[in-house]
Amino acid sequence: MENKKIIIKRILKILLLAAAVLLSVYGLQEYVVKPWDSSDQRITGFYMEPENSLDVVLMGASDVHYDFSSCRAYGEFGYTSYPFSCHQSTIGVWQTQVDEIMRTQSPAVIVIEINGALYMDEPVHSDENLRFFTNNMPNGASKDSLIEAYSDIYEPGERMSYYIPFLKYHGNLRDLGEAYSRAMERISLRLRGRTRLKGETTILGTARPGHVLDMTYEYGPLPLDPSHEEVLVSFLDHCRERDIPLLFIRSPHIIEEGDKKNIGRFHMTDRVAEIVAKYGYELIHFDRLHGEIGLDETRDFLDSDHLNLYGKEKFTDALSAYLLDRFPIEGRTHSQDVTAAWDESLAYYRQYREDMESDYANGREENFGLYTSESRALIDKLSAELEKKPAP
Amino acid sequence: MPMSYTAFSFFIFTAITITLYFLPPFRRHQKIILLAASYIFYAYADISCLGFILATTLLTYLGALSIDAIQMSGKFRLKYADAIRDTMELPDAHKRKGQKDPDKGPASPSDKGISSVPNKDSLSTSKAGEKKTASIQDAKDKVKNSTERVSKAILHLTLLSIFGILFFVKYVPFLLDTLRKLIAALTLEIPLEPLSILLPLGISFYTFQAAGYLIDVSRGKYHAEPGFLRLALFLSYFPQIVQGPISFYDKLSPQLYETHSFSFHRFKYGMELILWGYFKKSVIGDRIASVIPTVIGRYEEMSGAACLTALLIYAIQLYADFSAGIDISRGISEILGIDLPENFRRPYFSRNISEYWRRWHITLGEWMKNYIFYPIALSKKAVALRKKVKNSAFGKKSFGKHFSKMLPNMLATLVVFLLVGIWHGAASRYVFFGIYNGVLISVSMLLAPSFLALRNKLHISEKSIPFILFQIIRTWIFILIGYVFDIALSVTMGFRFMWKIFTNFDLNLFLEKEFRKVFGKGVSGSQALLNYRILFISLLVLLIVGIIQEKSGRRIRDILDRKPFILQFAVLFVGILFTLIYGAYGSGYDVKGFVYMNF
Repeated sequence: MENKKIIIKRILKILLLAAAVLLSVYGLQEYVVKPWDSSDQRITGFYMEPENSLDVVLMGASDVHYDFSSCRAYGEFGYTSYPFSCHQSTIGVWQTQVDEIMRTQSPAVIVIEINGALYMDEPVHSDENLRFFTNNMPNGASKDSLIEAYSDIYEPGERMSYYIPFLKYHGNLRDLGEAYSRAMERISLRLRGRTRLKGETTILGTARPGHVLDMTYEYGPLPLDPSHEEVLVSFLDHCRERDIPLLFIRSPHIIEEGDKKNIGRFHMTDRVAEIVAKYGYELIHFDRLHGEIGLDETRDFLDSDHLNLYGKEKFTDALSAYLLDRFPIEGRTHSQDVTAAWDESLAYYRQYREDMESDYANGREENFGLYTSESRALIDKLSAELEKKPAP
Repeated sequence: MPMSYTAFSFFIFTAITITLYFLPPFRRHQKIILLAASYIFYAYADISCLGFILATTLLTYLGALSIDAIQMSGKFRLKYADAIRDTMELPDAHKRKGQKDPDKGPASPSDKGISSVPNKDSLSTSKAGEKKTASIQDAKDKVKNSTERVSKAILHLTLLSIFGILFFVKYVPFLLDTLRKLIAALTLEIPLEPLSILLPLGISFYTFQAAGYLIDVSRGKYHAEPGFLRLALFLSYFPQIVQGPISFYDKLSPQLYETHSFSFHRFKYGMELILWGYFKKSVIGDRIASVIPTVIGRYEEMSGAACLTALLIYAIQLYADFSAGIDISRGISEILGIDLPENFRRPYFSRNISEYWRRWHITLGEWMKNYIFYPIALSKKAVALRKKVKNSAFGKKSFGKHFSKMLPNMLATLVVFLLVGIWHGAASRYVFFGIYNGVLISVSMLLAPSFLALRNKLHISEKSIPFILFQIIRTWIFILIGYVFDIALSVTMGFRFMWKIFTNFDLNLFLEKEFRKVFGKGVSGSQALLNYRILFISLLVLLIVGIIQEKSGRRIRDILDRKPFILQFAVLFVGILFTLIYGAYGSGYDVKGFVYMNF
């Protein structure tokens, strides 16, 4: 009896220590050491959207969240949407994204910006890309298959770090100030339970392009990188088998004289259009439609790859009109809670837009894409630090 | 690649092994579980290297059994030599009344109640007895000599075979490479293909264990192990195969072969030791490991201060890394109910270089002492040489007397350290490292009386703190000089490296420009800053723990065990969390293999 008591006591002590360590590590992992850039926030935010509450989901690289505003689309066209995108997104992650969208939502259409299919001489899989998703998506079959699909880029010993990000990021606790900001942002997002700006990134500012080329001529398609084309075909097979509604787009870019990257991608887009057409899907090449959208390369672009606030509004309006025209979006209804949350987001977006314009008018180019007031505080801090540094 | 102690697979492997080991249905087969685990661990490193350890095990097994059999047969023949001799050569005498066991010497007349006054008969009997005794002694000597000769021949042959394997994989590629360079330098056209052999994991360690076992069997210290699998377990036991400690058969094997029950106390102590090992390896060793190649690769452009810093860092890294590996091995063994010998006893607190070698890699030192030092120092030749010097004119003088007394020890020390150098690697710098230490210890043996006299003259107490600190720092300097040849790529480079420290120290250059290069290579400013802070805190912990152990002579685990639960909990919680957060492991860190893993 006495022995039994001692054994139970010892087991409890071990369990207590193990629980304390595991909880601490989990807390640190989830709130402190994991990176927290806008892509992490966007992906986390996607999983916070109530099930089947999105009419449209967009995916792709930064072109998506810079060029499309979900709040604007809701305000002007009345449908709900979300940019499930991340920086430098490669084609390798598309299949998992589509599966995740279909698992959690039932959109009328998934819009795919094809930048990820146009990379040349770059691997289909990138660790950065993979981690954006594995760090922020819930555990499950999709995560397992995504990690498995990317097994060519990591050593077997590193696999565990995709499930336990602490193994990779434990050293991120070097700057307590940054760690505090990350923790506050994550905690406030969790407490709020949803993102307010629906993942968009908007920066006021204007590109100063050189000689912009007239790209209305027909040149003929350029081939894709073979590895990318292979993945694209496999992806299309996957989607057609499941009858997933897709629309492919190439968002607007400035194509200047000498800009080999964007000139090449312009023509490779035509090749993607050829391939997707074989599967019955459509691709809209918005780089051929600058005039129709009303885009002015000297006023509406932030840089050659991204639109600013004004360009974003024009593009969102153009894409929304097309979507409403071609896909069964109108007539979809949502619960009162979902509608109320979207109304609140719209009000927040409008206020933010005003603030941003006012800030910009006062000489402050403000990042409008983050979600919380803590983010603004962090940006202020970083800006102040940058200002202190002497010019190189 | 061997299963790294910091790899997730290693944790899983160890946890499964420990669980199976103590699980009631398997407890009766603990030896089998350990052997299977050891060979799985070994095969995971490189399955192709299994042949080497199996060959060494088989040779050792057969060699020891043969030696033991011959010695047993020799003993048997010695015991019954008289009977055999009587039967073969003196059948009548053997049957004669009043004869005693020849082993007990000639029969005493009083034993038989016969008068002590010799008569004719008794005289003739006595003569026959003496003759017979001499013959038996002669036969016994012959048996003894032939037993010794044959068992030594088998011993030497087996040692030659197992060290031959070690020599082949470790030194032949180096010798061939040297030969190729020589041929190229002489512009000769002799084709010589380079030989690339993967060094089997822990080959030096298990070869030394095997050799120690063979020698002990031949010395009659214990009998040869009749079970092949049992011997295989002794040589392959997985917690120690990576980098030791080098165990002795009579100490380790009984523990390996007996059945152990789970002990909470051992589990707790083992886990604490493992945690301490991971702290040293991951938080200290791996964090600073990149500093050394950074400086070594560009030492000619760098200041002497940077070179000295790299040298100090190397001393810390080597200790943190090597002792950490041993702690992890000992911790796992402790949980399994097996006590592995201590390999480090705070070596950097040593007050002289001999003491340093008694505290550093203790088991290698023990091995060398048992199997190299004593056989040389006590050999007939060494003793004869000592006598020769002692009897010479030089030996009659005061210093000469001391010299002759120390001569066998000095010779043995030189040989031991030459071997220690060669054991460290197949390169001239390691040989130099060994000779340097051998000479240093020999000289200190010679000068010990002079130093003692000087200290007495200056009235310096042996226990005075400044004197102890002086001794520790002096020892550190000697140790660091030795380490130069460990980190340099050649002997010449080692001298140049040292020359840089003494002639171009340039502390300002180091502080202003090189410090970031040395400590912040490949990392951001904040990461570099974190490195300094963590390193400083961790070294402070290491120092405090060392001082407590040194002063109290007790283990920290024993001290902690007597504290209230809440304090124990806090220390372990902080220790685990600190190691998990600040350990240099996982992707993004250059996790190092253990320095001694390839020995």
